[in-house]
Amino acid sequence: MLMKPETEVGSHRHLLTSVRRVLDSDVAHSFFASPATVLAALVTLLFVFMAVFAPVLTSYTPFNPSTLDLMDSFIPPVWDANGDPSHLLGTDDQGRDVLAAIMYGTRISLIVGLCSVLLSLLIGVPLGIVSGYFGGWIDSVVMRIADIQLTIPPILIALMIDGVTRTVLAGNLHETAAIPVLILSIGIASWPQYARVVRSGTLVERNKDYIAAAHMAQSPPYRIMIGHILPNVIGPTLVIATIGVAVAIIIEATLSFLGVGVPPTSPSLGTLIRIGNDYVFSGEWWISLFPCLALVMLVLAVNLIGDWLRDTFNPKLR
Amino acid sequence: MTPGLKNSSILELNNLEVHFDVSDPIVTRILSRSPRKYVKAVNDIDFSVARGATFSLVGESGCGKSTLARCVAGLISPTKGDISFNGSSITGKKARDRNSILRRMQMIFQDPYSSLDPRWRVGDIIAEPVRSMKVYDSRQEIIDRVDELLVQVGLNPRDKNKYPHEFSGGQRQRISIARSLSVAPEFLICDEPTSALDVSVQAQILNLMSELQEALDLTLLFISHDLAVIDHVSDRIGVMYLGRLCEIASKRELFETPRHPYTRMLIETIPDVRGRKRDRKPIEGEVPNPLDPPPGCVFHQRCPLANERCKREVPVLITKDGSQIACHAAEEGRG
Repeated sequence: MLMKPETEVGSHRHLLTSVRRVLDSDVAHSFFASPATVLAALVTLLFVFMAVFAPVLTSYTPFNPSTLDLMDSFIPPVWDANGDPSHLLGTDDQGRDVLAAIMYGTRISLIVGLCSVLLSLLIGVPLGIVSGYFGGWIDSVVMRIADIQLTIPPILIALMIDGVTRTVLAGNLHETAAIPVLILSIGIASWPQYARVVRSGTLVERNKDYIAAAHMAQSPPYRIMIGHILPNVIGPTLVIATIGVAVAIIIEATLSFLGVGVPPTSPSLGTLIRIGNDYVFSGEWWISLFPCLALVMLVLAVNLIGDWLRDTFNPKLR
Repeated sequence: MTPGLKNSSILELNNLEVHFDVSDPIVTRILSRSPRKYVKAVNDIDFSVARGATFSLVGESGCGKSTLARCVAGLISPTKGDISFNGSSITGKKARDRNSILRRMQMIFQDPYSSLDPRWRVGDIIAEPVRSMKVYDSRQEIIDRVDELLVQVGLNPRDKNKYPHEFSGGQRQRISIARSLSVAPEFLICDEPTSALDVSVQAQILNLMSELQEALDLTLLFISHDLAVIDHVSDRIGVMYLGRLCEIASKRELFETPRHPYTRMLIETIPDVRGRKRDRKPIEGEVPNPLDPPPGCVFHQRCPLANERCKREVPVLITKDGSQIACHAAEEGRG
């Protein structure tokens, strides 16, 4: 950051005291007072752990078709009479282990969710600060674009961007670029909400006296925006971003379910659900159900954390 | 110091006007055929501040005194008129020219809670002006300066690592003062620096400011609605009403022989512990809407001395026995 405080801090002792302060803070108390939030945090951690350590937790490599054996296909979960102890949640039509596929799929879902929210923030936050700070025609232009984009559902925008890149990038190239394209399309589809929140925060902060004092100090506009306004408006934005991660995961799953997301060779949760969807009526319910449960749990957990953050950091609700 | 001499005045305002455009959005305006609307926050202001002295502006809420202060500070640009600082005009200056002005002119704000960035450490808050204006070359010099300033305003150098929320209102105002003094200005605009504080803390801050004024040879433009505070700090006082100056006089003259009817009314309102049951005349009526100020003298609707002329003709500031007054009644010797 540009205006990084230059005051020296005795880092080690400060770290200890700040850890203690965090554990003793109102936020920590309200966190531990809400069992649903604690559970949600644990579930989220579990999913993150699963995604990060997937190669350690399972010996299967569901993304590598050469290791798959079609003879292993359609094995039901282990508690079924025909189950196989080496495939806890059974296998799909390609002989992929469902549990392993969920782990690797969670990885893709989380990467896409986090990165696309990051991209939205990177677009939305600067635009929000600039339009709130300068006002006038810059504000009008940016906010009308945001308004127009908000009238179109994010899924449609993501579909459009995905479709365009599909025609631009030829076959194979598109498959390798699938994840960046997803991130790009979801990220572009959801910047307006961050821009709006940041703008309204900026409008409040801009009229406070410390900004006038910064003007008196001859701080240039970019430094006022980055040094003063950004740190003061970013809190509520990050809270929304948490819920945004859950939304982005859903959008990714929807796109993949529709078949325009990640390719079936490297399935995300949405792709797995779509693959399994074809076999629900023929009795192979597990292929679709377990990725579904994983997706619901993950999104619900992230959403609960987001809700809790919003309630805790919104003084009006306290 | 001899106030009144031309060459000794540090700040001069000539015909200063600040109008705010509060018109409806253009579409609404066209549809309802309403004209543009302006709030005339500051009108026709003329005064000068003598070097080393304290000039105070007093008036009710909404009379334009804060707007005037912000205009002098350059935070708002005037609609008309001219401000000269140290003999040269500073209105419409480009940013790089303002640098040299702002090193000599700083401001203290009213609300000690919103005037300090809650996310910044006190040391960084105080050092912001010297860093932005590049007063010092090395970091050590800045740190030394911050320590010196903290001691100067009665705080501890260790406080520079704390955040504003760890301080009381009075301490925050001290931090604000330290920030404004960091570039060693000669002119300080104080926009109601004590009105958000407890009375006991007010006295401390006012005493601190008097000490600093003495020690650093500061000139103050002091804004307040509190006559007791004004009485404590001022050398010369300007009374404002609805964006206009009614009277400018030395402190003694103003409090002993107020001549403008509005000044008299204000002084009537000062609470008095000794006088048992004083027959107070309450100020009648309310301040008119600045969107639609009355014609003639803006005070005539509430003035006991108003006559036909007051309703038609806007009084101008005239100099009389060393003080200035804008009142037809006083000019004609009525009342």
